[in-house]
Amino acid sequence: MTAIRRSTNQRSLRVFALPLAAALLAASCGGGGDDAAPDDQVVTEDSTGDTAPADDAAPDDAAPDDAAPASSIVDDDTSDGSPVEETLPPEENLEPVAGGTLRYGLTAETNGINPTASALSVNGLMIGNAVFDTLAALTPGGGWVPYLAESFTPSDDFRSWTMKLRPNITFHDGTPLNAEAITVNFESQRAHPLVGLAVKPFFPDEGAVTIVDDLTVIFNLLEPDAQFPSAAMTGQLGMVASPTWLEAAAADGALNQAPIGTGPFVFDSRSEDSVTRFVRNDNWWNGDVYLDAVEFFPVPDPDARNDLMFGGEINALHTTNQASTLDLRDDESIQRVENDAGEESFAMINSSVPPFDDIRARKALTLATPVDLYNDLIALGVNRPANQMFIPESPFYNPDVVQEHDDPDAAVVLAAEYCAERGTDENTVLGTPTCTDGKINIELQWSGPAVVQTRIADLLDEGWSVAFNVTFNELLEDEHVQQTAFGQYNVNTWRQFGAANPTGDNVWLMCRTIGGISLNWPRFCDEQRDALILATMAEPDNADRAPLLQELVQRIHDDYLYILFNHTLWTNAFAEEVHGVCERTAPDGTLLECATNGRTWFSSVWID
Amino acid sequence: MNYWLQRIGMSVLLLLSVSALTFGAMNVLGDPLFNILGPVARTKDVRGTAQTDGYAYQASKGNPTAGLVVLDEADELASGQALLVSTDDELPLRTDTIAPLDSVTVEGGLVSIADTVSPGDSVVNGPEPEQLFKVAQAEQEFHLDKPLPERYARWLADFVTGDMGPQFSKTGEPPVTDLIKERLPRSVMLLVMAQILATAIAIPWSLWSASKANNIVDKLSTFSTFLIIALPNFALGVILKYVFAIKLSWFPQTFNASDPLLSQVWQMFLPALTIALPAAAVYQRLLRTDLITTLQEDFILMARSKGVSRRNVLFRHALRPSLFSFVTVFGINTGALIGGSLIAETIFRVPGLGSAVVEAVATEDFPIVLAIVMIIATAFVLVNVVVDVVYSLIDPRVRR
Amino acid sequence: MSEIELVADEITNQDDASPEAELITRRLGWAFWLCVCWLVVIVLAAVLAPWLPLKDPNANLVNRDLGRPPYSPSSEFWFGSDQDARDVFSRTIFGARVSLTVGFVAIAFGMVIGGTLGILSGYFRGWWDRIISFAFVVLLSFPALVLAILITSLLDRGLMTISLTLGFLAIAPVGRLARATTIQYAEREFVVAARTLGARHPRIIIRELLPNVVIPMGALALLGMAVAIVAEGGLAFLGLSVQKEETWGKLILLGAGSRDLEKSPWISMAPIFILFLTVLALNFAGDKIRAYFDVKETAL
Repeated sequence: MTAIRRSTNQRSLRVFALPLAAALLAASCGGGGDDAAPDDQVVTEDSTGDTAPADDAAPDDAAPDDAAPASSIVDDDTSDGSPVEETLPPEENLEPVAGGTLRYGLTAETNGINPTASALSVNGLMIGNAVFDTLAALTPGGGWVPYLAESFTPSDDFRSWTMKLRPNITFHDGTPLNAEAITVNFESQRAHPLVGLAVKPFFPDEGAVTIVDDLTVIFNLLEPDAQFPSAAMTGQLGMVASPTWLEAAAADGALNQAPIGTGPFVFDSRSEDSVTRFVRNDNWWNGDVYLDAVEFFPVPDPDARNDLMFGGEINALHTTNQASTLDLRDDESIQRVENDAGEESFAMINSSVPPFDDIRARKALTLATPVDLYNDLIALGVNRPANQMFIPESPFYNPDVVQEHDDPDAAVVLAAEYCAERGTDENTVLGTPTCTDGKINIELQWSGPAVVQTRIADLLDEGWSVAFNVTFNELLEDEHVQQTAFGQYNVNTWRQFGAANPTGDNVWLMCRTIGGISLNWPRFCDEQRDALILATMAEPDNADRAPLLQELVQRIHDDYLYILFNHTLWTNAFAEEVHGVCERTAPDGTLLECATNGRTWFSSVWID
Repeated sequence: MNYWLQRIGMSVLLLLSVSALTFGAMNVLGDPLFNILGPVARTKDVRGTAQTDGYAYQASKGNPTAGLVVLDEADELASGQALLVSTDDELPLRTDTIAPLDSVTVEGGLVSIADTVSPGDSVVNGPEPEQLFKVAQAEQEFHLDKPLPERYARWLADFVTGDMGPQFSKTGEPPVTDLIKERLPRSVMLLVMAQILATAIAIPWSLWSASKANNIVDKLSTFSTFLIIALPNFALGVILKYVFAIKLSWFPQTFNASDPLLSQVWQMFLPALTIALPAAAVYQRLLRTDLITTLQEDFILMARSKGVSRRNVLFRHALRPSLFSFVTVFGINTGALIGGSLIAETIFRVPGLGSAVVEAVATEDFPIVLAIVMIIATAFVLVNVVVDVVYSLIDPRVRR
Repeated sequence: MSEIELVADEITNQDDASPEAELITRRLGWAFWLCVCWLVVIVLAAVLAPWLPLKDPNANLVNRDLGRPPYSPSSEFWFGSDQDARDVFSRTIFGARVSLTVGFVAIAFGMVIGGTLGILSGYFRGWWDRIISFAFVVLLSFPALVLAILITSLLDRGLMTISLTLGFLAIAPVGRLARATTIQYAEREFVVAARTLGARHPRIIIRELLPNVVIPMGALALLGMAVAIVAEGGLAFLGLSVQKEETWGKLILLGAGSRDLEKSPWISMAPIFILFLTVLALNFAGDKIRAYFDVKETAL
């Protein structure tokens, strides 16, 4: 099978609502079993977002020369380093046929499938793709097009956006899609105590959405946002659910498990921890749907997921597990879409509690981190090491920013210096002094139980132990997110910064998202950095944004809050008989993005 | 008759103790609110810092801002109470707003707040009013603000009428009763299959072994029971799955709840075998010893001397008395099998009660844990009663 | 867990001297001593591990000549290495420290608490006995593993918490055995004699009953230790075992993915094998001791 590779041009725009919701609400009962980062925890949504698509597409030959893993023990068949690799054949000569069931292996079960009340992790979003449509959709070049909406029009200052809906669309229950439905969806999300956290910082208390006529609404923003539709409307916030159903689900929580949207598939049945099934919507507004049904199987163990695929029990899966990725690459009959333009894996430091309120302690931890070993042993050389949140192909990449690591001697010196001066402060997370015997006492948190997570903890401990006494604290995913949101941690392992549009990652960085519950997890406030962030949001043109974002990346690096390991690589794999994964189009025929951050769509898929 | 009444009384007392213990442990050691609200639950434990001098109070939705009672000192504020604080003070729990001194009117221990103060003002890193409101709402809905004995009584009253409560969960799962209805049949089916398999393996095995008592075959088979019992059930499960599901592909690797019943039985074979093998070894040891004892009894020797064939003696005469102790162990062992099913359901992804309880314990989903613990305890009690009844049927002397 | 219970029942039923007891020789046999040897070796290795010439169990011993880990067994790595180039042999030995500690502490705790309660209730009888016996039944009607995950997930996952949780589960079966044995001896001539001679309760319990009760409990201790070690493995499989230290259960789990089973089976098979041998030795030795002392008892 020939591999068609294309280089995406950039991390494009991305919005707050999505990541936030996903991050905090991170559902999934199965625990984060999959891979090297807190699994699915902070799943942001790829959105792209260029209002001016033509001129800022990066050249196709932008493939980087530094893409190979920095240090691998053995040469292996890593990809050529481009952020997206596809092995799906072009479908020109094949006529789609109707029928068949797509059986998809997911990394975990999701708690509920209500985009206004559930934390949609990547798995929730994937299931959502079957039953909901988003207002805008991503295109492969890093752009976006209106999808369920007919058009988006910004005001001159990008402070408000007018959205017009397509006429004559109804939800599966017969409720019409209109301005009222949009308002109900938006307000439900904003009213949610967690999802709302991500929405509120960017909208006024009153008049965030105003209805113009039955099919037109205006979104009013607090600050200019030049990429609003691509960032906000292509992910969870862009999914529109039936208002009738939302109302019923608010009264009877059980209905959250039986979603109703406008999407290509209609909810059929759900048996938690086993299978969730959707059947074809014969009256879909955007054309014909081929598959009879889509079934989702949560399989937290990546090996088991692969085994099911090789055994023919499922015909599609997604994974970030490196060993699984290698096995999938070895099987010629399996088609893959790989993409590492999304999140980064890293260790994250809480700057609000001693010892890490002191930059010397943060720097010591950074220098003691065995990143090379991590990428060799845990990531198996599959992922590209990360220096910053942008991949080298990104127009915003700053070549001067390099992630420090593997310098234990310097770490020991810094830790000794810190301990001599502040060794008697109290580490309130552990309830101990910050130092014992010249080493800094810290707690490492991660979400589990998962074998890989334990391996990572052991590996980090092995490196950090030169200058730190590390206490372990493995928590269930929900608890892990809670402790992090409330600042009750010293350092943890995390995955984030997947925003296609850097705007979407702002919610993690700004002073205004620090509070009782923080989304600025490290609880680090820098007014100048905030000013810079607002400046990037107001700028519609990538060429103008690039220097600002490069400066931002430098600032983030200099504060030593994130110890970056690598760029997360998502692999979506499909059995031989699956076709049309990348043939999804908008009503005007524009080809749409087929895989972002582990998610794919189903309306164009068919099976022979 | 008296005996049976006493028996029933003890069983009820037993179930009450089990439920009270579980209920108490989960409520004292865990936090039900966390399971209902997720991260938001912690807002009740968060203390903000005052940004200004003034009266701190709780401004969750709909509370009056007039006539707040001023306290001298407080670790936690209820709605309708206020406390005078100064800048940078650490605030009491459940305090989300501060009204600056110039926006209040104080009158005889009561304070009124002007309209200009909006909820959440002048507090940093504290709970948000809306979050506190959610907390209060959930506490009320699930009666978490009531004292423990009252909550237990409420739960008990619901439980005996067949309502096992809502699933505590932020996304509104179906009621526990639905979950039990869906999953209990699978677990029962798994256990029944396991017991059938175990019996089917143990009886011929022990007959064979006993008929060759103390020769090399018997010794080897006794030794092999030691081997099987020494192999942990999780290791057994992993090995069975690897060999029969992955390598040989004789069985599917996982369970699919939407398949027809017959294929579900097929899918449950390996998990049932994982539970059944160690049980079979235990049964075999017991039956073998028993059979050997019986075979030396006079009536067997008599039968043999009358010319009854060896096979007939084994099946007709020896096995029946041995079943007596088998029934006992069969009953007692059901408890062990339930433990084994936890592991087997996890390894083979059978969504039964075992995997549900593991998950529910982890997420501190009290109503589910309670319901499942009660089901298992009830099953335990019932099995013991049934064993007694069977006893008295087999051997009338036991009847009192 | 309730295997303990089964064994306890078996032991209590044992006094109707089965003819099999006659068949068992009064010697313990070479197999018994082989088991004891194995147990001595594994306990010594565990105790002395830090001073033995073993590789650092936590070090990532990446060897570029061998390619990418896991390395297969060789003269350098006797049992091979795991995915992170750590020596499986030395990890298994170090894992024995925790697993054996868990097993020992658990059963010791169960013996002390359960034994005391059992003897007291068996000796004094009356209401005291009814309450304690009822408490035992309550504990027994919880499925043990459910109780274990409940306690560990609500408390923490330290070594002591896990050990004591498993020990707590051992209280009821041990207690029932102690009670049954005590009742059996409380009516025997030597106890009655001591009582008529005016000996006080503590003296009778300690001097007359305890030595007799301890013997069957000793056999149960070995079997119970095996059960506790396996139970720890079960907890590890559910992700609820000791947090930081390595245990056999955690080592097995590390290699139990189907990919590792296929490509590098030694990661899980080495600790499974050692665990298996140890449990087998404990079971076998416990069984032999039981049979041996039963013979002695009937000889009394």
